Amino acid sequence: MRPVLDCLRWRTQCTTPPAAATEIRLHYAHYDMLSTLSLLEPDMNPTAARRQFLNRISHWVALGLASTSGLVKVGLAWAAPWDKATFETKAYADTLKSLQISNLIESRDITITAPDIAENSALVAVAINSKIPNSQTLYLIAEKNPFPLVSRFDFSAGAEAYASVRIKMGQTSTVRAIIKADDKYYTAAREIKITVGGCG
Amino acid sequence: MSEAMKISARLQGDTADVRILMRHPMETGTRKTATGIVPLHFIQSVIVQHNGKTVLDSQWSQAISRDPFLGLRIKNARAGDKITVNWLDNTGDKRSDEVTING
Repeated sequence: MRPVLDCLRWRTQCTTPPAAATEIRLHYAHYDMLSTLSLLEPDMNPTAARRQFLNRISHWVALGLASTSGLVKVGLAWAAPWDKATFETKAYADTLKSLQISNLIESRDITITAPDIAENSALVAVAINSKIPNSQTLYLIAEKNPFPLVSRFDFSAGAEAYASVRIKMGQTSTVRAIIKADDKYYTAAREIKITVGGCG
Repeated sequence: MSEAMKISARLQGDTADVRILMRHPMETGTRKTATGIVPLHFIQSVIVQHNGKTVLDSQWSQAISRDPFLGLRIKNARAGDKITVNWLDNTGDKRSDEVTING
């Protein structure tokens, strides 16, 4: 009888359980387990613990439902499918053919910011900026990489024709930026020296 | 589920200087470990949106470094604007993170 009364008093007063109430402790042992699993704060009274547990479970369920039903990304359309044909070309000449680029105009309005010698060939920081008006697309190419096309950026009116990335280079190579503006292709290039290959 | 991207968007006059650090192994499919070759696993598409409008649409190869960094500049940005970054990788895995520009 005594433990039950202790239990009732505990419930109404919401204080930490009396030391003698080991039976109550055992009954609520699963809350301790949940707190070790970081699902609940430790040493909570059972009512608050139950409430918090149910709240947290319901949040996870809602998030799970939202992401599986696609609510998390309503209206996102991936603009163009990944250009597999060009990304899989193995020689620079073939990359240009796949992109259907025949005439490249050298331009001083494209700046490539990159190191002359890369300390770590798996992390070569390259930044491209184009001052050519109506720059729509930037192709970043590492001519001697196993697959020369590294990336392609399509800028809308809301972005400057600028991109900064870090790339892997297999060997010393010319890194080339090709800008498509008004159906014409402009280019600038820069050699980056590598001491150890970065692909694997 | 992948880890969250770190996105920083700083206003410089009218332009937001956005720097994104994504978490992804970007495996080239040529790396050997004790258990064999690690298969190709890399981010293929990245779309950056400014208040819901796509400003940058990019396609990547496996030559982008592990834990990819992307820096870009968005025009006509104001404090309070939302920048959303979405990526899709070759296994179909996706991620989307958003920040608000603070002055």
